[in-house]
Amino acid sequence: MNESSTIDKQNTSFAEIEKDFHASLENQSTDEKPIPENSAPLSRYYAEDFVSDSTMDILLGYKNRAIVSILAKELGIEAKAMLTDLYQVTPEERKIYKNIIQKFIRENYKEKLDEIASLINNDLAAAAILELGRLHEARTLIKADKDKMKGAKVTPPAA
Amino acid sequence: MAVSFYSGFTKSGKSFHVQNKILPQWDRIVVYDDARCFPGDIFENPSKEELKSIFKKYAFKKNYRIIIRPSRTSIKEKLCDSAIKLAVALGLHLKNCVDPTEKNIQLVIDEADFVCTPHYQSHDLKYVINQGRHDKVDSHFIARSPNRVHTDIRANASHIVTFRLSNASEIPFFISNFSKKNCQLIQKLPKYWRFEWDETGEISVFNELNEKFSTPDQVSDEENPIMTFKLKKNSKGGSSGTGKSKKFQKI
Repeated sequence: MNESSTIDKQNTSFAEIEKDFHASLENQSTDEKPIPENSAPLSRYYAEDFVSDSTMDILLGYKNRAIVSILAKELGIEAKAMLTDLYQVTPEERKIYKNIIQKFIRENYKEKLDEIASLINNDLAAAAILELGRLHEARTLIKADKDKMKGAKVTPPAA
Repeated sequence: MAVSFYSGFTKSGKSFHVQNKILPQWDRIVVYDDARCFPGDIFENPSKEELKSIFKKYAFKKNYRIIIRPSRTSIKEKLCDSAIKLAVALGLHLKNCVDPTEKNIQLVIDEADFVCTPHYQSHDLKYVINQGRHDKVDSHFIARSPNRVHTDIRANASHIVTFRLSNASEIPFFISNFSKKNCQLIQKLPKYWRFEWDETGEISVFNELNEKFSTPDQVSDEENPIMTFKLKKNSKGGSSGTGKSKKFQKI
């Protein structure tokens, strides 16, 4: 009797595991592209869709410097671990981030920034978006300064 | 050994080492074989339906070596994820339905740098690295350079084996495990020689005959088996030897 019940239990467990395995295979998304050689995750998911190379540089540059150093320092998390965590987003979160970055690039980021940040249910990502805005602003200012310098007349020093 | 990591130049012997020295100790093995160098029951780019039947076929077997190979056109990362899912399902089955005291499933991922980058890993990969041991899955990652695999693999590795690498002394991860002096020696390793580090902090060097020596950074250059090997090789005009020094005590 006991043996029989054990066998029943085993079969049930096997069926459950098999069912989960089948479900995990069926749920495996097929829409993601393979990893290009030496790619970073952001470029993998966003670059080809709508972000230009130069903007991608800004995003990646921001990622390396701002997220890792500033946020890790603030939150007291080891930089590498945090960087890893930030990349471990679910496909759903990935879609949200994609829309956020799309909005950020296409629309006026100053007006949308707070709204976008408040939409994200993730403090790290929200902080990242805000920091992205600050970086973008800083770069715009630097570019404006450079343009100004180019247009300025250079007066030779008095003899 | 929940997570093991193997690195080294092309043809340095890392896959050969896993195949001949590691896997024979185990009964249930799943290999994601990109380089096509592992023997066993080979499945070329299996579909989902094939993977389901593989699970059913092997779940109750006591001894198997399932080799999953990608085709040239398949998305490697996806197939590797499927291999991980298969290994985890087999491990869970082993734990829950067969005998939890049985030896773990051994999952080998060859050319691991093709399925992850230093910044990206799939959810399945992250799961098996961090949680695999709870599902009775031990994982072995083989890659040419530790710089090209995800930080999680390096951080969780309890057993690291490295064959000759050109830039070992520039890899901070290796310095923290092997020490600076040993890292410099990794760059000079003769063919098929290897350094091993385990979670207890013990570092050993093995020659091509699998003879073990104590840590080279604890001895002088004259006693160092690698340096002695080089000197011996030079004096004999390029002949190979076992690299044993008269002064150096083999363990």
